[in-house]
Amino acid sequence: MARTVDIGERLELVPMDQHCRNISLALYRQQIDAGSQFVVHTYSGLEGARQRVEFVARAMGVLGGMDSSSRDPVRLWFPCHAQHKMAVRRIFLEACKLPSGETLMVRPLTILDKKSNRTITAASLGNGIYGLEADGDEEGKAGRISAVAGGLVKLGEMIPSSESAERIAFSCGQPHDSIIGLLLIRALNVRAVLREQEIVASRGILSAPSAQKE
Amino acid sequence: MAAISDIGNEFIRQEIEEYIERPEERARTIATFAKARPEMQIIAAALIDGDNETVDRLTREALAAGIEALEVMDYGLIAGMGIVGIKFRQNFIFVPEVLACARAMKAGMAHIEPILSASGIDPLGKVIMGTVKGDLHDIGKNLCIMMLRGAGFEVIDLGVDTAPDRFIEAVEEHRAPLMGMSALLTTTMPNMGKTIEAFIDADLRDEIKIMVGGAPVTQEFADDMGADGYGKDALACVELAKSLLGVRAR
Amino acid sequence: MESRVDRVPVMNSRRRVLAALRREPVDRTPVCNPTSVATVELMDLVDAPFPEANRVPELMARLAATGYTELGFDSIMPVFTIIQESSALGCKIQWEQKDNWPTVKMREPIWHNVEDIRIPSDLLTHQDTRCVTEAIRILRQEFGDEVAIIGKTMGPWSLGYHCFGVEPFLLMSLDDPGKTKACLDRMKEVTIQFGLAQIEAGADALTLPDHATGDLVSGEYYARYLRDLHIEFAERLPVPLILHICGKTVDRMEYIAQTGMAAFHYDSKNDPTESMRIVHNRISLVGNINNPETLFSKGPEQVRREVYKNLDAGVQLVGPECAIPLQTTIENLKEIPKAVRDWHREKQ
Repeated sequence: MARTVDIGERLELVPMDQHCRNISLALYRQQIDAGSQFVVHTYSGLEGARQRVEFVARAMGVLGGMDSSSRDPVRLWFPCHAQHKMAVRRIFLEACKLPSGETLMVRPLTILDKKSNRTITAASLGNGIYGLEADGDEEGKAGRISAVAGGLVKLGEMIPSSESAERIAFSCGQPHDSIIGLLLIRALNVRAVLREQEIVASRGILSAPSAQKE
Repeated sequence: MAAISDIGNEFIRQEIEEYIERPEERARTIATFAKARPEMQIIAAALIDGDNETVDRLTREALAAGIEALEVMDYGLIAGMGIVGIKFRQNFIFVPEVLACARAMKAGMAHIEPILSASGIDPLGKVIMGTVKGDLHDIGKNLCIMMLRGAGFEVIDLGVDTAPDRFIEAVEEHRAPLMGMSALLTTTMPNMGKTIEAFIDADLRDEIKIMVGGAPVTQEFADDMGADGYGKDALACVELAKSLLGVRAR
Repeated sequence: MESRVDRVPVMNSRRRVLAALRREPVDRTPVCNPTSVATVELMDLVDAPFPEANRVPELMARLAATGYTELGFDSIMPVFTIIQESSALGCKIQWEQKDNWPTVKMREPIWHNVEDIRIPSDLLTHQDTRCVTEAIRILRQEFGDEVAIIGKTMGPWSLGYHCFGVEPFLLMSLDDPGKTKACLDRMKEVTIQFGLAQIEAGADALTLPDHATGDLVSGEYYARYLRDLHIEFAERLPVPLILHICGKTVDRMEYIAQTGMAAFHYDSKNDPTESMRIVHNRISLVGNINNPETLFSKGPEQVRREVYKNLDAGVQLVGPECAIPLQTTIENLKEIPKAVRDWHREKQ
């Protein structure tokens, strides 16, 4: 008799959880009438597996600003009930990195960007819109903010603003400070965005023959 | 513009005519060999033929005759390997033949490398190369390393089964601006993504350009993993390395 | 191509697989795994993680059985890896952890010359070969003749890679064809002995991986070095043989079809229709659902598309193209038998 269960679409898998006897931990998504719900699951029946799954779910709640029910603590959802597929995968992976019992803290909306040596801050402007600011010299500031915004767009499936390169928004129209805080560090490093920027920046520039690709 | 008739060596002319179809590659190869002196063309022909003993002997003789090591490398060994790479890409030859040519190149480079190291010529850049964790294959990686060294890069070879931490340590120790990861198994390909994640977690992602390659790897996969570039064979790896570091050919 | 499923009484999994391997009528196309369908989640389900599941018969059997009991495949293939014989021959093995495959340390070869090749007296009682035969016995006892149990025995070309090292072996094949053939001729006895032991333990069929893949060597190489050996295997091993070669292989399928083997397990780099045309009903095809891009990275819809493509082409057995990535979703794997059933239902 089969014991695998149909728990929806698997979004992410940690094959060996270093904090709990190398069990695998998975995040599944289910579609219900109200929207998307997520389930943290392991097929392992080893001692401690259930407690580990519950901790990861709890950590996701704090790190990602997600809700859950006391009756089913491994089932979570965003207050907006939207998918936020890429963001929830990241929330899950970050939660799995934490040992059980670790103090859970929301990540701040500010980060030091080593590449440009600036502090980058995201401010919630309402309706799921966020504005990015950076301190420091004007030279290069706009470009770097734009790159970080592009990173958040890619990682958080956010919508860039047509009016300002410094503004981005969640399509659900709801604020998700926790997600922004979590994604900021990775938004600094999204290669595809950086590559696109380089390509756009180099278009229309006349290169000396010696500098052109052979 | 050079013409194929400007190339004195009949074997080289035949190789170009028979195996190089793309016009720009043909033009480039003809231009290179038209400039190469006859002794270099013979070395290249022997390399293409996989004759490591002849390459070994002729390289020694050329150097002893006072021909510059760089000239022997560029116009004898690398030029020959260029044709080998094209034939391999087009499936005219397969890995056994490429290995034989690589063996011949290695035989020649054994005489060249000591001279270049002693001469104090600056390398084009430092590259860390390794096959990812769990993968013990290295043919492709070794071919890339040979071509990179031939192109003037200093390469630190981490070998096979390289864990993310080892890549990070090597990048930090050698202050390398570029890193290449290879995987031959579809099952180990995800470790490329894990390694890149490790760099992000260590806040080092901005310090390094990362290129990936290997038989099962694709551009799409490389983009998904967050790599800076994908090279589909050893020749492409060298071009990619130059591009990522913004260096021109010597 | 018409599927030969008209008016065939319902078969059990074992009969279905054996009939398809003989290109006889079946009630529906079997879902078959000549290579591993183990995943980390299935390892957790039955508490049989790698690497131990490759070395302990009870764990090997327990994990392998999930392919049938959980995923709905028509076969059970317990030999997840390709290292058992090489380990018994003396190769050093890197055992890895749960989320990775054990591999042979090919950079530390154990042989350099023909004279070095020795088949140890404990080839079949070594822990890693005995694990396989014992696991097959356990599975046969548990499942009777309900499901096809497929063993695996490595071909001499693959053994050459493991024992000589890939680069040295390939260079030898170019430098000294005579020596290469002599080596293959000696190593083939490992293939035969291990194969016979698994048959005696209860295997219904054997997967025979021999990695003369198009990504490494030419089709002509296959004809020169392996075709005759594979003909000999088909004669000496008295069960259906499923030859497995990864990568591009259309240029050698004509030779493979001449070997007398029952089936060829083929890779997604080869088009199903073209492959069927080349083999022209002389050998069954098994495959060829893509692993890294489809099973590992995409969803059930893409899996279904590839299953249908194979069925539309008349491929006799459907399954993944090779050992699946250990992180493959159960959902994608279960989609394979689901899609096969739906295709047949649509055709009726």
